[in-house]
Amino acid sequence: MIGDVVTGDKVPELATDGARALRRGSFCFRVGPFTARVQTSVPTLRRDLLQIYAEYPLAAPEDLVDFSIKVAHTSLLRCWVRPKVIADTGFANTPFVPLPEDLSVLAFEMGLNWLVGTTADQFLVFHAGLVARDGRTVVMPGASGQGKSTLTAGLAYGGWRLFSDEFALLRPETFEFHPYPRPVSLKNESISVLGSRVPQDRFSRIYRDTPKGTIRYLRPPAQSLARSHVPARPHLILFPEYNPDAKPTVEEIRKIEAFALIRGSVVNSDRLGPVAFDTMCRLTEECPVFRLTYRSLDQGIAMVEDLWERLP
Amino acid sequence: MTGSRLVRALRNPRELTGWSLPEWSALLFEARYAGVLARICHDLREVGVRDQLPAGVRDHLTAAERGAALSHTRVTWELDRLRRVFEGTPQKFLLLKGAAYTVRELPWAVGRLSSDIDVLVARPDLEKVEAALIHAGWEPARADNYDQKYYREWMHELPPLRHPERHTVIDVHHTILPPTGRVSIDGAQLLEQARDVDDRFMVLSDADMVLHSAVHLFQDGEVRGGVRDLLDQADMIRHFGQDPAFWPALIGRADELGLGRALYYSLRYGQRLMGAPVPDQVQADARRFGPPAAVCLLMDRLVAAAIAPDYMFERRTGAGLAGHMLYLRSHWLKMPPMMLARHLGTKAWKRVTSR
Amino acid sequence: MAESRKSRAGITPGKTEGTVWTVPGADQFKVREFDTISLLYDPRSAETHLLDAFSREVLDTLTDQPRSIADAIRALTELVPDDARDGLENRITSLIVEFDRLGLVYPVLEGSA
Repeated sequence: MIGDVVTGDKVPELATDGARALRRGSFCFRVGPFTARVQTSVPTLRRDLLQIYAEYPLAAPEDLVDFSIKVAHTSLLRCWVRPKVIADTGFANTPFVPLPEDLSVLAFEMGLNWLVGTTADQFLVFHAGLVARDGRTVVMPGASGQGKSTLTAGLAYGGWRLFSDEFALLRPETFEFHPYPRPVSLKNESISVLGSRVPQDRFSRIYRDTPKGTIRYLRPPAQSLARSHVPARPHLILFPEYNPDAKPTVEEIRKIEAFALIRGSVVNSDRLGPVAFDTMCRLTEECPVFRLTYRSLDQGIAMVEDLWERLP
Repeated sequence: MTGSRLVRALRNPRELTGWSLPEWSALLFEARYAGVLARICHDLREVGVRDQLPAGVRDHLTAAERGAALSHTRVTWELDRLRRVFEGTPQKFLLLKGAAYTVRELPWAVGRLSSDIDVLVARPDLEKVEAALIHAGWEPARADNYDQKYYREWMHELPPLRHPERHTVIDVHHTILPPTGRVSIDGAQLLEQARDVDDRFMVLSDADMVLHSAVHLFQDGEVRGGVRDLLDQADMIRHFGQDPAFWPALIGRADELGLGRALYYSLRYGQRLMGAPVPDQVQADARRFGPPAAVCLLMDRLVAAAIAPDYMFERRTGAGLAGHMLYLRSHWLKMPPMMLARHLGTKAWKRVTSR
Repeated sequence: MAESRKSRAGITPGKTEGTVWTVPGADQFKVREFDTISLLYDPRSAETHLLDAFSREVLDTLTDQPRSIADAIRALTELVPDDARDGLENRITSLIVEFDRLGLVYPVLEGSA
């Protein structure tokens, strides 16, 4: 493991395999089905990576590297005066913008997300939260927003296996979702909501003044990471909406609308063409699809669990 | 010249079954960067070894093939839409580059990623074609006044036309090189020798197809990462060269159009780097198009360094500079020096203010 | 007569009499139905289209047999109850214009192969 942790609660300092690998520029670790290689000389990022990814499996030197990411200062001058960093995946036409050095880990996360969203076409990729129980999944499609990530994190620390809060990966040939567990990015109020139910050492430090406000990363539960090579079947599709002012509702969605919503959440339907069409139709046909409106995290979790119990 | 990892993979896909995963990690990156990963997938299928490869590698190949399949669909569909606009009219189009290879189903049409369509029409037809496309829904892509002016006055094509729903681009040319360059070609010469594919579309003659690709790589635009263009030329040589009449036509046409220098480089590097089977006699005949020995030596080094990309964790420091030098040389060939200073100056200024 | 038709720039549906419309891509379409709506994936364009019951009927009519707009109107009018025939011609014409725009149907000029 990256952190080489024996006791499991404190991340040791630099004398670890991970730290050594980072310094050499060959820090490779597994995230679900992928091996990511990171190179950076930014000390903040090195510290953050070692803490946040402490429980992720370190990859072996002879493993296939799926994604390569560098995070470096934007210019030599920038090292000293309000230093900025940027992700480099080696390709042109990327949408990355420079970020303050303190937010280097965000640059890394963006780089990795971009690579998954643009080159992982062996999967049908959804913007969605995804959790599982007993080999079956609840997928919660939707654009990046507070509701989805918070609910996913709440379920993950409520006994469900975390697959992802960001991207759901479905292999069309087997019709199974594959875990892609990333640190869950929690913003603003969600931090305190989860903070009251999850031990502090599961969180990263605080990142302020990010483009989306204040952020903390919540590390996936250790058991989720330990089983991140085990896929699960589609079972329930939910479109959750957090609304503290609205009456809580559970509403089944008509199939045709469900298809449109599902398709809207797929990142690479164009590139998968007919395979995407068949797979999305199959999901629509085989899985019940609901819209959920909830007032609080507790209520949202309870509603999901209730729906899960009621389904055949 | 020893081949880089990527060049070795392109020349002999069979040997890839013996590669280690770290070698594959680097190759996957390089091939993707150069836009040839889908092509390598195809080659592996052709020689029947794809299924012997590790599962992780096969996932990358699947992903690359899917991207290429979409690009192919986009190109053929765009041509379908172009046909529809001009249905019932006598307008014909000479297809260039990828669209031409695709419509003729040539071997190097496989695995391409661009879905832009390049067409050439007679200069008098330019405005009417542009008007018809705009009427049918295409929009000029560049909104900036300066670039519009640059395009219409100095370049060999209209400003690109973009379709707002499909996000595809059609480039309408009247010739293949900018008229202000040191070498210029009249589109009519190309049209004269073009071959019909059907009643709407034509393609360049075999010789012109090679010359166009060569000129695109060695005189027009950036050269860095041009491994795919050189690969295309090697494929064309392999494919067209089977007909003995092709070679004298190629040399003669290069003379006629003044494109001997580009052909010289294409034959030289096509053979040295990509293993293109150029007959010795042809290399000898092409020698007179070559540059002075000193320039040739410099080009040998620059091209080898710039043509194939390096895995980002193994970058050789030479490649960046080599790429830049070749880019400046390309622009130098495009526009006379005074105009070039003004154009580059304006572009740099725009980049500074728009940050 | 054929010459003067061909020299007109382009073909405008509804304005060129005698134009017959066909659906050459029909063999390749992937169609699934949910409720009364049809999802149609056209692999030639990589587009997914949503057709309500009536649109589907119009497309099927042209698929069964290439027809001019006038013929399609005749065939479909018979299927529709009297009280729903108001504005039917316009609806069918606009649908065929839309299908043309989406590349689902193609015009065949009178007198051409």
